[in-house]
Amino acid sequence: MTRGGPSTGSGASPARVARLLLGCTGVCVMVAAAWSVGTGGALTAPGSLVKWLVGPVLVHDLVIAPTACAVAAAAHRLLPQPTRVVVQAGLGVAAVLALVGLPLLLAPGSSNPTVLPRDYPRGLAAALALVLGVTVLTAFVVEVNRRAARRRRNG
Amino acid sequence: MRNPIDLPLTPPPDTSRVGPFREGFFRSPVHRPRTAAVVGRALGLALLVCLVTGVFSHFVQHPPGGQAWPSRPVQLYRVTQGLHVAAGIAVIPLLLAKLWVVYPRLFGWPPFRTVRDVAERLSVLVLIGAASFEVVSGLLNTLQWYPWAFFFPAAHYEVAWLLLGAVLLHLAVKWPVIAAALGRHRAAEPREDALSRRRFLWGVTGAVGAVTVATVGQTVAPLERLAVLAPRRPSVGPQGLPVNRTSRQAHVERAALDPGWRLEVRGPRPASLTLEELRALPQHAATLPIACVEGWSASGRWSGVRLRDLLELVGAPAGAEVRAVSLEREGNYRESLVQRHHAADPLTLVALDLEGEPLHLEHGFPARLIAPNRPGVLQTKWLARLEVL
Repeated sequence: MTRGGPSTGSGASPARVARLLLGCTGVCVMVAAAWSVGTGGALTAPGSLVKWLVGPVLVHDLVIAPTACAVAAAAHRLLPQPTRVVVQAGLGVAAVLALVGLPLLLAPGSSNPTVLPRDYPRGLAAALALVLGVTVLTAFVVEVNRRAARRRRNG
Repeated sequence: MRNPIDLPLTPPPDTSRVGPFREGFFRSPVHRPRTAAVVGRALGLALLVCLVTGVFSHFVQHPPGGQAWPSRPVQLYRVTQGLHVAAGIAVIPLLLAKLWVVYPRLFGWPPFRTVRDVAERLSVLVLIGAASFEVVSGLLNTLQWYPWAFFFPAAHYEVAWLLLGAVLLHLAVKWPVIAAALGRHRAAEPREDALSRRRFLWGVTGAVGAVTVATVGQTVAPLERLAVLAPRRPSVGPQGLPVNRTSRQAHVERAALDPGWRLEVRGPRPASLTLEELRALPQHAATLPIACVEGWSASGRWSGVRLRDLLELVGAPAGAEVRAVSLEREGNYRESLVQRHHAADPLTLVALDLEGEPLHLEHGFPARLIAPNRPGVLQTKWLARLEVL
């Protein structure tokens, strides 16, 4: 954990003092900000704000990360290196694009026609097709090279 | 005497150590501190850009102690706010990468030994929560989507400070780990580990590049066609310019189209001008951007009467400030303050035309304010009144 954390030990080296100051500053800033949020009334709506503070963390920890782990593990079982890393990177980039694009697909839209003026499903599909296409192509080339190299070694 | 923070706590029994809590569940060398430190450094830089540009934007809109902001460089706000949103979008892959690297620590065993461990875990929850909040709320704001009860600018601003505090605390707590991972005397690592880290970092770089290319065209015009995930197109809108708030949303259609409209100018010698009278005054043109807090921006060729000419007309003293009031009855941006540098700037116009045609109703017909180096929300549309202060 945090051996030698800001408040343990008795040595007072400049580095330790600096760390202690940094940590205390951080705590003070956090407390002040939390106070502003808590007393902000309708402006900060603390109940709603806390939901939006914790919600994304839960979505990440319980949905996004386990899914990514499962996909990474499947790639680990099915693919040899260095093909695997190409596929993992491609899937990762595609997933991030999908995540950024998702709100555009779910947004209720606006009476203002200059907000969200594009065909987002089509744009996202095109971006994903491009990333996945490049990934498959690269993985294919890398895999062919890997097999050729192995044959050369064995032959 | 024992520090209360080091009080031991009873950890759960080892029989409950299942699933991802098992030893060796996460095997990839990517989960090591060096990757966490390298990704953390990039993430910290991106967040710092967001903080600086965000605080800048806040103070431009809420000047502390009546401090007058400069009206030049013309494109300054456009650049800082474009950077704010672009860096914020880059934070998404960086934050996901950072969380991916440290995800196994969520399942560290035992989950806590002392009060200190519990406190550290809570502070990390605040850190991740505040970072996610800023990214999610900021992204949805660029879509003008508000599925929450708080007022976005206030909440986004306060949580930014919460995040700053949490980052400072995190740096203090993790300093030895960071120093060991990034410092000159870091331990040698197996070639395989270095290779897998480099590959991971290339993937993260690719993701940052991809989301940037897919969105930055909302402010960098030449990349507009590539910006398939941008909530705005700088060239789409009436007269080739996007609109942030429509006349219908602002409930000004009738008042703005009223043929009896006059611009009231309050000052030592008050005046009330019809559209014809405004057009009869010397007309000037300026190419100025609409640069929105939502991160899109687009340039337009505006023309109309210089604000400073109108101020002279009503006998305003040199260095006067002006309040621009819209026909809107309510709303946070129905009026704006034009500080002295902006009021005196020859580029600041009461615009009547855009791209050589009379202003479209959605762009503020009959007259709007347009000034250099100023957020879009302060470029008051559908002017009713100018008050010399």
